[in-house]
Amino acid sequence: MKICVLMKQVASEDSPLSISNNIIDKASLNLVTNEPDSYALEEALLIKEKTNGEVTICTLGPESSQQVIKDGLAKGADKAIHIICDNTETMSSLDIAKIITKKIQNENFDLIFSGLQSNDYGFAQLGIIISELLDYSNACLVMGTEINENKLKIKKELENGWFQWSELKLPASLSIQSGINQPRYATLKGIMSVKNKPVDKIDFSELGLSLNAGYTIDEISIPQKSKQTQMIEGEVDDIVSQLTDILKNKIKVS
Amino acid sequence: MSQDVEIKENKTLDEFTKLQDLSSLEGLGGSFLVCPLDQYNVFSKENFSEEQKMFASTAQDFAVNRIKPVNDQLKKLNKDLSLELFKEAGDLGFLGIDIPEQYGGMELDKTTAAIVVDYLSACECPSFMVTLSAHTGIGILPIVWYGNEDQKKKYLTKFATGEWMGCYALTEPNAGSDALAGETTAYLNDEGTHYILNGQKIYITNGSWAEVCITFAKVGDKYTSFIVDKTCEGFVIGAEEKKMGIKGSSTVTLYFENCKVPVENMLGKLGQGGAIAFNSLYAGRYKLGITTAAGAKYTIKCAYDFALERKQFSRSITEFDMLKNKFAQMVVRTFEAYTVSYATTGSIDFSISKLDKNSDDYYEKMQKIIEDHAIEASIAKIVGSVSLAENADDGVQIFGGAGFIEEYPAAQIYRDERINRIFEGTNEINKLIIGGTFLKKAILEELPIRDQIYHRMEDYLPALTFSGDHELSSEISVIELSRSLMLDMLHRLILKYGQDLKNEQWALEPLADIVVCFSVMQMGFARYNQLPDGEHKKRMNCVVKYSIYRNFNILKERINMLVPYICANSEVGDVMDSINQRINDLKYIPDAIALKKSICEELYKHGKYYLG
Repeated sequence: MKICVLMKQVASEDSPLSISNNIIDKASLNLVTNEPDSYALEEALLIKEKTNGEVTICTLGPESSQQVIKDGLAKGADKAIHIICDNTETMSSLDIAKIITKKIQNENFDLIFSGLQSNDYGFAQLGIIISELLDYSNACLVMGTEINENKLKIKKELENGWFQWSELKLPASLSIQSGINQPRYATLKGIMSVKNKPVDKIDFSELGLSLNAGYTIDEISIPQKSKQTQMIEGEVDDIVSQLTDILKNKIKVS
Repeated sequence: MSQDVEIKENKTLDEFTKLQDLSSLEGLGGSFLVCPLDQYNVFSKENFSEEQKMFASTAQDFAVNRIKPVNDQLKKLNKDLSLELFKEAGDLGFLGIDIPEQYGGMELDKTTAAIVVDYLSACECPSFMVTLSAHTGIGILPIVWYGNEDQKKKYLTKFATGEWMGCYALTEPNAGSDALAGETTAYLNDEGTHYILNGQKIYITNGSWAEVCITFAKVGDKYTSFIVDKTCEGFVIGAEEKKMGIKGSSTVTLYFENCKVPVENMLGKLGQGGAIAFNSLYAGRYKLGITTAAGAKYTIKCAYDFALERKQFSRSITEFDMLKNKFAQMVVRTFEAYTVSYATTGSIDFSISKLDKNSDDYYEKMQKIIEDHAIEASIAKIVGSVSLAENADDGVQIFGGAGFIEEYPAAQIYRDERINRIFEGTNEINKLIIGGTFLKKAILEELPIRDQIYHRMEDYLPALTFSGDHELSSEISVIELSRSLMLDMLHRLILKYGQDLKNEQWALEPLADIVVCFSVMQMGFARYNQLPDGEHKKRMNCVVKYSIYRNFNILKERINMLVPYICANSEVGDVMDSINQRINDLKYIPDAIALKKSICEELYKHGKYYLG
């Protein structure tokens, strides 16, 4: 079983954010592996251990993203692809999917895993678009996987606490829901093995793709954190009916 | 220290030719004492390799995500959970760092071992750290260093995975710091198959959890080390002690009641017990420097988070200057503890890296290197434990009334901290080691200390190669003058007491304090000075300046204490005049309050210790 895990480097949640001229100062960011991708990697490693497979990490990003690769290799991935690109912020998900697809299309992966979404921009589209471009089966919000003799069964999260088991044809691209497993820690031996594992590095410009214009960012701002207090005024009956309306329709107490 | 040495006299000044290149002393224990600042480098956190940074990060992940959430359960003695986490630490490789690869370990450098305990300390659970450190240090090292092939195979493989825990039993009711006075005996049985041990060992960390115990007993008059399996007949484990702190770790008395230990379990040679006992302790000391530095760091965070939320007179108490003063000093102490501890592991690694790993006497030489760094190891232990103690005390004060209530974390930090100034050799014993080793290295000329004493008499402030407009130029002079004063004190002490100095504790303690303060200044400066320009260096500037300021003050105070004690009444006045004249000539008058203000400002910006 050949598995590719798409992983991304993002700013950590407690990173200090400084914005000027609608640009986030990247130098001040504390960069980490996108947490949802860790679940995707763990799921791939579990399948690898069961099926004697091989796990390849693929990341698109600047030189600094190699830390994501190193962390993944330390945890047990076998090799990595690093498509170097300094500025992915304004690229559309479609373009990013095209870049990655171009690079991996001949690798014949049986499975492509991605985290549910990235903690920075959170588009949650990449896995789906790639399955379309490569003509792979697809599932999102995957809560569990079972592989038996090249048959893939997956458990998908539906709404309202419902799940669905379904069978997919291989090859497939799956977006993995966070919390599906318990991502492992890198062992010291794993960390020491990193330097012996192959990393295929390529600049995205070498892929010779013509891309769309992508996004233009009009404005970036930090969300207001301040609490808002709404005073309900009036007669008692009035207050009660307003309050029940808020509880029922705004807060949706069920 | 105990060996008597002949003092070499009658060297003329001409014989002490100036050593041009003292930087060749790099990697030698105590080299900081004589290497001028322009010929001295230290290892520091900023020098971690990429791999070491990843070790740090996985240790921290495990500590924060696995151990810290169950911290409340580990505060009380919880054998099952402690052993479960211990085993998991083994699976990740944290227990096998000093163990050779062929026995399941990784045999990485001493700095990496230090990094792992440093970042595991992020679990903020001193009890667990004590359990783990006792195993990886004094539990494992004696067998790595002195064990034979069979012993290594049998024990180290299980120590590396955490399947077995080790402990080290040295202290006895009538023999603590003077371990060799131990009363435990061993004799060979008539069949020649077993040694029969009788005696007891007290305050044994991991004692009731460990499968294996390294202990010491006299065979006749030969102090000898043994590996005792828990299953040995006559091995009795006493009740858990009720301790002031680190209550989640096991501490018991172990009794040997005609305990039958197979002959093949003798560790090292008959009579080698003393060397095994003491050499194993050195490594524990610099590692304790690291864990206490980490404790000092987390204490800052803990106190800051509380202070930020705590309001008095309708503002956060962080806004009060007297608290800022505390916070600034907490940062400086943490910086100092980290600096001296990693300087020590770095220097040891530098020397070990030059050894041939495949040579038969590799471990013997490695130990010699660690023993050679006895001064640094003791300094790391003292500076670390005192930094944490003072931070913990300030922490309780910042918490105010809440600091006295068990519901809040400050009280536990305060209780857990206390043991650090006692175990791994009390701080007093470590001061004896510092003073005694300084004397020994001078007399035996292991380092050109006496050369430097004579040179500094002629030229107490030698010109260095730094540019005149170095941003710490007055600090450079302060440190070099301090070195001259320190060497002068040693010289006067040698003249007065000769080698009996090692028994003169009234004089030895202030001398050791002077060495400690000096080392902090020298290593702190070197750490700062070798940094590339940038934000990190800028942030460290005030910290290193204040550190030098405060250590220089302590050093001066100790000299004021020593001079009247060791000089003849008739010369005390002149000696002090001359010293004070030299100090005054420096015109060193830093604005200490301004420095502390900036340090605190930076701390508040980061919300935590910000120098790594």
